[in-house]
Amino acid sequence: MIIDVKKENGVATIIPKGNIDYVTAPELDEVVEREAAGADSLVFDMEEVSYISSAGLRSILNADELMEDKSGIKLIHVNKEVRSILDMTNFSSLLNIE
Amino acid sequence: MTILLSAKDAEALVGEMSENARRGDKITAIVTAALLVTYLVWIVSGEANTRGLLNYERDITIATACLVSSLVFYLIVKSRWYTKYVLIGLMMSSIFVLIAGVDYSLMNLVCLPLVTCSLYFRPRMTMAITIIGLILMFAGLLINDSIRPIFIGMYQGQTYLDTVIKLTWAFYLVDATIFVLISMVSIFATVGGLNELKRQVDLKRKKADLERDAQNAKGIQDGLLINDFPCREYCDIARSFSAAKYVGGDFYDCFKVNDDRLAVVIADVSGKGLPAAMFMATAVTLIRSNVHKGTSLAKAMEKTNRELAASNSMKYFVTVWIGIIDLRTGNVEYVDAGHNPPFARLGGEYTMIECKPDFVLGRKRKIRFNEHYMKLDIGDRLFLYTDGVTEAVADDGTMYGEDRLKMALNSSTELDVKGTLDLMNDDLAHFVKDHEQSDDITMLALEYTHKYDRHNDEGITVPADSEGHARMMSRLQQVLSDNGCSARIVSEMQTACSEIFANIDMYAYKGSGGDVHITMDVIEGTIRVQFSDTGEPFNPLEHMDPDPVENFKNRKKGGLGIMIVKKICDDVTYIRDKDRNILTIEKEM
Repeated sequence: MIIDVKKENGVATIIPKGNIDYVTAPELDEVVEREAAGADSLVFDMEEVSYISSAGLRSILNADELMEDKSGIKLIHVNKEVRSILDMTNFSSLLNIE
Repeated sequence: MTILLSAKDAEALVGEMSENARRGDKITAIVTAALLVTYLVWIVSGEANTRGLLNYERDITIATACLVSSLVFYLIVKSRWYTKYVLIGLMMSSIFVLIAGVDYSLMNLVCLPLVTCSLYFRPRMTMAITIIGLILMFAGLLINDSIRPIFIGMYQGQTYLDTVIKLTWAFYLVDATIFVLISMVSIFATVGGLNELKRQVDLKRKKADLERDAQNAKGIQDGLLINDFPCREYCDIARSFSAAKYVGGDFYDCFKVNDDRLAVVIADVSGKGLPAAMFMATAVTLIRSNVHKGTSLAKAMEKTNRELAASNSMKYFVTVWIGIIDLRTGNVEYVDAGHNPPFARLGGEYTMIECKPDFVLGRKRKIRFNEHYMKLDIGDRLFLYTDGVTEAVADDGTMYGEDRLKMALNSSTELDVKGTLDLMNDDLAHFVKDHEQSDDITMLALEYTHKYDRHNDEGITVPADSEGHARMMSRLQQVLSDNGCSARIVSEMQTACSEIFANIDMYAYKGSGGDVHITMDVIEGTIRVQFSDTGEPFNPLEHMDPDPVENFKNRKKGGLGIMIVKKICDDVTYIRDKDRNILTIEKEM
């Protein structure tokens, strides 16, 4: 998995490309922790995520908790495949998805 | 005898009555015609004339007119509700004219309308005719006497009242008594006829109810009995079903438990008719839904029994023999819930598969069932049947029995399964001859012809780490795209496999490493992935969490991964086989 980050006006956009599973989730956690410290809000651009497993969901929930006192997190460009997992687990009602 | 009739029956009774009235009208018309012919003969022979009666032409004309008009009336209007009144009225009028105008000795002719009217089964009408008849007789006698004094020479010095008393004593009393006696018999016959009619209506209705019930029950039964057997490539299966007139409640079934396992069932429900058929339908459905892989057969039958017993107000029960054949090996596991022991031909001759049967299904909730085992080789056969076969009765009262059954089976060695059943049916027919069949006769014969030999994926063995994970993923991608899967299925299967792999790595091996053997098969449009590891016993299905998302939020380790797997896949099963965890997931593509 490759993770790009774009920073703009206190908003850090994290762009993971590939699979988010139990192998790659720690990398995402690392990026999230690093960016959460300096940003007001986190945005996950999910366009190029081919699948996300429960470990990936855990990372996103981590981020949500880290940003709880700031402006929170947002998921954008959620594709069909990721969407179906989010719906299945009811995460779509917990998260801010655009 | 009183028979209470419902509104519907009353309607049927009215129908019967009008039918009866039509017959009555016909007979009344015939009697009238006979009367008319008698008159004509009487007149033509000149006998009437010799009596030297006064005004005889007029009276005969009136009587004849009455009779002719009643016949004409009958022929024109046929049967209406008032036909009987008109016919009998005209008949009585003509008789009255004859008594009054011709001869008082014709008095007893009034019995004719009385007897014909009893054909209508209307007691009150018969009573009315009796009273009218008595009056007409007396009036006719008096009129006749005034025209043609009977006691000529005895009248002098007598009052009219004396004459009337004399006439009554001499001519009326005896005839009137005879008439009343006949009337009583007629009324009695009428009431009896009416009750008989009611009873017939009641019987007809009951018979119709019974037949409709049997028809519906048969419909249910027919709907449940399959004709297209699965797994034809591996087994020859034939069945024979012959229903008793009023359904006996047998059923057989044959269904795939999974790709390489076939369940065969034969059963007999106690009781007959529609409620028993419904019970049978429930039993079939429960067996089909409870017997699936991942559950032991005994457990599945225990569950079926509990569910059947829970809603069995009619106290029915069902005897079942169910076997599951592993088409790869020929191993059969079976449960016998009080059913007749089947026969098996293992290599040589047919012998009874004897085991200690368990209790029947549907009556007691807490029953344990025991699994028994046997093994079929290629060419071996099973023969399942219900007690309709062994308890078929011949005219002399002897039963067909298991010995005859065994003998017949063993004379069929050259025949295929279908031929065996034909032979069995011939032998049974020869045995019972014309004796009526009282129970369903059901047989199912099966020959294990080919082993399940579909090529299976040999699989890959990878280490339970990120490198192994990557190898599994790339192979999965390969297999799925080779089979033309949609992007959604690919993504979902990747997620599911990744979850399971993560579980094995983290919980079975606890991160300390080990091998995972993974096979991927696509069978009839279903992708099946099987994971096998030698880690600690770990059944992820037991770690399902009722609310994984909530616990997840609270930072507890939840069963979210396995929940995702369950949601994605159509089937997830876990078995612990010796030192291995074997988890299989299936998804339709």
